[in-house]
Amino acid sequence: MTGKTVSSVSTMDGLRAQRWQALGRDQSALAAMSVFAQLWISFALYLYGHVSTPGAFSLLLTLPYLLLIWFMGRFLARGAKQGEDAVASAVGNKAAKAFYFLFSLLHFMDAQLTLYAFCAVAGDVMPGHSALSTTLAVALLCFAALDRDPENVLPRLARLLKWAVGALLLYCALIALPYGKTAHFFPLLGFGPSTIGKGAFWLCGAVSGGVWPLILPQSGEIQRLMAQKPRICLKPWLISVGAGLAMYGLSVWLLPVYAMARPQSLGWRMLAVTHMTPSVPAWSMEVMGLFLLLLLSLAHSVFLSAKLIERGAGKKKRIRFLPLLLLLLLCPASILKLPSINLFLVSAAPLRGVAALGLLAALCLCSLMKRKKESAAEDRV
Amino acid sequence: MEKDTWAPQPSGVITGAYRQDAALLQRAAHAQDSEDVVLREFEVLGHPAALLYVDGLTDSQAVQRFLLEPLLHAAVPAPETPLDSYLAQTVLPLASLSPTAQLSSVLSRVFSGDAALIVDTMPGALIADAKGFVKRGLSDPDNESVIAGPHEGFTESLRDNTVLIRRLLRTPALICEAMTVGDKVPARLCLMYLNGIARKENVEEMRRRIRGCRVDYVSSMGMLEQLIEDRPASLLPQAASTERPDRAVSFLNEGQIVVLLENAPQALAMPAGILHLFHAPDDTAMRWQYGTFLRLLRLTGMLISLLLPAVFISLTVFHPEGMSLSLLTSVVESQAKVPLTLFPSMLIMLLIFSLINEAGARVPGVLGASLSIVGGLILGQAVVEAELFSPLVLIVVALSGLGSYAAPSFSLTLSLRIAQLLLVIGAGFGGYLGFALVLFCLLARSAGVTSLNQPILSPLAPKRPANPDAALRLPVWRQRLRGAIANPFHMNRAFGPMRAWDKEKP
Repeated sequence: MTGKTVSSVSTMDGLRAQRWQALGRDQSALAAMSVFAQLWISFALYLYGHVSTPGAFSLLLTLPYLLLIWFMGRFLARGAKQGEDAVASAVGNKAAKAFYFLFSLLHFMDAQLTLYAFCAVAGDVMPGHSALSTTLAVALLCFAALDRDPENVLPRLARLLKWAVGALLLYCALIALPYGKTAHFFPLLGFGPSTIGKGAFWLCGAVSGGVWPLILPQSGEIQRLMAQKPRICLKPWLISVGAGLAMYGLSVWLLPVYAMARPQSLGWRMLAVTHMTPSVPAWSMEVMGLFLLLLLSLAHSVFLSAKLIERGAGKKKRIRFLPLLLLLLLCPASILKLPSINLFLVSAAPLRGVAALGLLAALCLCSLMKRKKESAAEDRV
Repeated sequence: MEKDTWAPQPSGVITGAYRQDAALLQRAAHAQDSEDVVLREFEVLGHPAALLYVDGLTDSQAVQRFLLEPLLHAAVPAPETPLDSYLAQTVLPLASLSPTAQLSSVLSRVFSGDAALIVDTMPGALIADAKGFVKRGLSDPDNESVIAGPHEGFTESLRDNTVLIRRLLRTPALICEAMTVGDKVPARLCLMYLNGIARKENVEEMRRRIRGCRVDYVSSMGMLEQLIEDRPASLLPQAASTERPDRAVSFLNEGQIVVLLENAPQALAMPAGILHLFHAPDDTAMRWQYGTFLRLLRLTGMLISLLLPAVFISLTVFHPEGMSLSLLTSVVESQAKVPLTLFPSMLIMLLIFSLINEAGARVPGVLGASLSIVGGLILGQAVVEAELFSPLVLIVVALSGLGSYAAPSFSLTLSLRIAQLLLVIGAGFGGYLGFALVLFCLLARSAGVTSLNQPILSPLAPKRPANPDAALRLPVWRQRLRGAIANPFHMNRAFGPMRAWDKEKP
């Protein structure tokens, strides 16, 4: 019996390749957790109230969108030469900067939504808390925690937290299971197919956020890995969609239609599963799991946004206080408590999916044209 | 900038002009001021000569029998025989005898316990190994006692410590590089590694860091550790320290580099991961079922120590809805007559517990029992009876204290206690919100810590190929890899079945 613990690595190059693969897997875990967090927020923001029982169908409808984005991303990654930036290789360095700023904006929006949900959960858990102190504490602690080497620390953190958050949420789910009813799944199509379609449109915005770390990786090695092993990028989406399906299924199992549709605060909806469960420890578990998940997603969005701004500005060195600046920029929306800002955020959120698809399609088109030109030039030669 | 003019080992050369050399040595070694520094003058073959040594550091019998007597009774050599080679090869029956001309080198060796011989017309000095200072014998390591496994610990003697390791690892591949650290008063240290297993890059990085220590004197291993670690601001230790030669050998087998320092009864291994701090020395010596059981107990204890006080404060102060009614009733009843609220009570009790620990570590052994009675029993009972603290707070603090003792590494215990305090403060200010924020911050900081440029949380995060030997300690015959944190040259420890006899027919 040789056991499974045998290493095939015997050279330094092999060791390096193995480490890049490990980093790729950890990046995938980070992307999966971020997408799952965005899905959770979208469930509470839109799906429970507008789509109700058939929200899982909406989530399934996002799969073609995801596959389309995946194919486009793969096309782009393969088009880039070794060590070359996928976006810059498609549209040239100058235009790439504009694309980076736009991508950065999408991530910034993800961060805003996450902070909005975070403050809402904090408000549900601790009524009377100050949004200002919460956001400032989040900003300063996130920055202090991730100031050094966030590109490596965040994936490692995701790797650690995926077990902790997964265990906490699984515990809640198992505790909650006996309190559901099959009857809650009906009416099976909820308010009809059109609302399911609208829900899918909403969710496309949520799932698109995880795309960019995989298409625009921080290092050439990971980009090469993504081009060679594209399944690494597909996995986090499938995992997060699977987790989202389970989560939505559990919510429907526990919540009757009228409870879902009833106007409730965002915080209540985020913690809906345990609100419907009489178990006392389950509530603590879900709150802790959700806080950690949202913090990770927030940090990921902000640091990615900062990274993309740096790239857009053509900076090779890290701008140290940029993430802190972005984190502090997140504050106004949560401090001002203006319903118009939150309304704007909620109404603009589904457009992220369209924007992501549009940007990616434009990049693919440019890349295709460039490749055609190159092949024509080669033919002439 | 102020110019540093203190030079404890002045420069100069032993030329062979006896009067000058003797005066130089006397002046440089402060032989006239220091009672224990001896400059013994005599004649060798008609030449004036002197022996410089430190009384007590050298073995006086060895000086008498193997240096003075042979020199005083030396036969006249053949004409034109160089004096130094004649003395070294024919007269002095010593295993280690080396010539040197630099005054700094002579002084360094003399103050390490060797004796220096200068003879008129002989350029340079002959350094004889005649060490014979008082040292502690081998004993059971106090801070890493085990149930299964050897009971020998390191001592303060560098050579004894290298011998202890060599005795366990009898292979020429074990390299023991001598270095010094400290600009003014250099302390000797040994860099040990397994040639062919340890990465050259890691060895070179260790050398670079040790050479780059700019300090007059390194007094302890802890000081050296702080000088060479990657992130001094981190809560987590970045090197594994051990008092046990068998543990040092296991580090060497993993491809790590072990540092031994003169006068330090510990070895320091780098790069080290969090698992090196979590594993106890006798885990491998036990059968895997027992090892796994003990590790799970230890992990539970450490988690209780880290999280329980913060969870208790979050629940009782901010989220009473997260408690069952019976627990909530007990909390309210026990807290009813107590003047302090739960958060300051918890902080004060945690600090008192740490104080008792610190006092227990400092008092002489005879008073230890009295201290535990005063600190643990009388104080604990008195504060409850006086209704200063809630008994529930005491129970939580006692449980978390018990859990912190489960950590096998003292550094890890201390970092757990500090993290526990930070979490309690977070929970005290913001309930689960503050708790989650501080926990996230601590985890993120830990994920960024490296040891000799390798992430300290590997093989957990990032994932590295590793034995099934993290939280669980699965069978020895499944543990076929060396720890990936050190990037060893040869990852596999075994090829083919480890229990080969199992497949053979008897």
